[in-house]
Amino acid sequence: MDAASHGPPALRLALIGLPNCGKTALFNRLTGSRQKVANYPGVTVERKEGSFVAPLSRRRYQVLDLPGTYSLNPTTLDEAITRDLILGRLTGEAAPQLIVLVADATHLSLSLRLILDVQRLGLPMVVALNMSDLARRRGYALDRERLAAELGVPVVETVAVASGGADALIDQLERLAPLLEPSAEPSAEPGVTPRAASAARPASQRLEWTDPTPDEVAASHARAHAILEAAGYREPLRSRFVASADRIIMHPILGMLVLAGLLFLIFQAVFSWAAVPMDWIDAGVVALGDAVARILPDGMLRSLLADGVIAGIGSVVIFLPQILILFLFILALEDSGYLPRAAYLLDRVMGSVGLSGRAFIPLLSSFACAVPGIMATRTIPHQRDRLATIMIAPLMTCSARLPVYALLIAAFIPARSVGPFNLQGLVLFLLYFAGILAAMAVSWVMKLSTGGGDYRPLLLELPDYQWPNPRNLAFGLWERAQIFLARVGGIILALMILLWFLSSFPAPPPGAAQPDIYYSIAGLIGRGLETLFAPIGFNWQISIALVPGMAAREVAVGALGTVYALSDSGDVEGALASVIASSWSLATALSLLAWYVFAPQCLSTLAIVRRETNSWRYPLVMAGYLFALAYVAAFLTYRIALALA
Amino acid sequence: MMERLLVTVIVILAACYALWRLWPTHSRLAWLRRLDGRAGGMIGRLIHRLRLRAEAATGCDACAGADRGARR
Repeated sequence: MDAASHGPPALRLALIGLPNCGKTALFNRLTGSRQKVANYPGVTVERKEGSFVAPLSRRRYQVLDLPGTYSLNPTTLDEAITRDLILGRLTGEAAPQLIVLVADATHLSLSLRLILDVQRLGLPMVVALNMSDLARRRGYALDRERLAAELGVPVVETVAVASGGADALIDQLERLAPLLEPSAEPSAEPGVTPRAASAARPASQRLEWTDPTPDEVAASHARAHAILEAAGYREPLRSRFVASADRIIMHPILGMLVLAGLLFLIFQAVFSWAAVPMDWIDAGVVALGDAVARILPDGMLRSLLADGVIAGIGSVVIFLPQILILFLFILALEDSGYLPRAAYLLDRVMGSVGLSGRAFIPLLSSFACAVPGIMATRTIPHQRDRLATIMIAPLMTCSARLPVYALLIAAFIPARSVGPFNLQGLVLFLLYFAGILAAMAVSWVMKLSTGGGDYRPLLLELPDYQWPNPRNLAFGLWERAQIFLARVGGIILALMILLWFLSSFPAPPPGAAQPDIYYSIAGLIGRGLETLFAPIGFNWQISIALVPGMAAREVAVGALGTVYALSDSGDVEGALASVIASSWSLATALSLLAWYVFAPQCLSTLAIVRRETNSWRYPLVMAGYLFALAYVAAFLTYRIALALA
Repeated sequence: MMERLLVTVIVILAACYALWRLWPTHSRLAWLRRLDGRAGGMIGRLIHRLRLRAEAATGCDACAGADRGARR
């Protein structure tokens, strides 16, 4: 039974505000959700919905978290979502009955134009001065009552990242909500203006909005200035620490050195720190395999579980510690406020190859997964820039490539030091760098071929530095672990079972000299594909693994585990890394690494490109050029490695 | 015999699950929207739940593909 089913009628409210003012953090605080938050703008590109029940009235509040916007004149797709939703223009989407306008108290003057825009609509509104603790520490001054009187709406202080930081807002909502019910009497409560009181209008009713003329915009700015002056607003001082840190971190040369140092540290840690937990997981997988072999009699079921499921899944799940270490660093950098600064450092470089500065955040997201990265391109206002970013997003090294890279590096690159660096970490860094370099090169070629790509400098507010919030880090890592394990236990498990089936049937002919898998359906497919892949050094086992690897890149690792388990007459002795180290040449391993830098082995990415561009043309072009690049790169790598050997 | 039957069932279930997961979510959602409400009972409830899950996974779809020639 719904907790609030006997409470007062539900109220639908929307959180809107400038980018990076803490809307999603407030949404999470109110609803108990764990939507992604980060210390830079443009994280939310879709509307998110959640709800909470007020403790006293038992009223349910439906809360919409909307992408950040500077005004109701959208310049990007994500801003258009916000505007259209507020105005009730989205089909099948009821307009909110109340707006909570989240304003960053440390930059209040920037939010005033949006507040005045929403006021023009006549919607009931509460202004939440978020990050008010930070603003106060920096010595801001504001007469909140006076500001509320000037605006004609309630103004409350919130600290979205602190426990109880939304209590004042909930109290205010509780005071307003009864006045917004259809049966409510007209009220003099601030925020419930005569026009707003008609919030009892049907939810489907559209609001009228006309874009303001330049004169109206100027008048709006003047009014904002006057309101702040009347409210005695004094802008908080810029932290001295931020100013001195920025002198180093955003310095064209020192800043690049800091960035390179950070990246080196991350890739070193991925290999150095993960060794012990990986050994534990490996020992667990081996013990499980042994237990299955002991308990079950020799037969089909034992082969399915030991060679199909445990060998396949075990080969992938072992990389969980490395993925978590990589994300620990990414999340810490996100939370600290460093990433937008890195975006500024790289803006010139990106501009020189025809990319918009706004491409940085989508490309950065693509290091986790290209799918949210491609969705995040909605924040790029120009169509050509957006398409260019979409087309190169798969070249950023997503986390699904990490198991493939880590397996091959562990098998073929000795764990020794080169100067202060671990050689394995260095190779991993070079692979990531190769993806970035390839993306820049592709973008440059696109710039030359389309003749477009004027340099549009990045305009982005720099957030303050802050210590990464341990709660955010813990949630972020937990989320990544869940995503990874859900894939392992879902699609990867299903594909391993299918691969086992295809690798086990039909049975070999009497007197067969090769392993059973050689005569199976999978073996037949692998040998067929081997003709195509032999010039780049791939054997039939690798060719088999590439087929289920189209579903997701890390599936190829599991597939190799299953294929080699079935290729052996007995159980695979030792980890997959040592098996392939003794079966492949170094040239083959390097060729496969080169293949994975480029190959679009991810159906989800192609599907999201189709969805975002509303055309099959772009995913087909993307798949074509990436496969061509992968083949050429693998061919050159293989031939050069053979020649040098 | 039992072992062969059990393995067959596992393989068929894995094949169905893999096909379902590899079906692009927005296209799956369109199919579920068409189907939702037509069937009753347990199947109807299952379809409805799958539809809600697909909607949660794809987002609002409000601006997907909306920029083709429509803006700027």
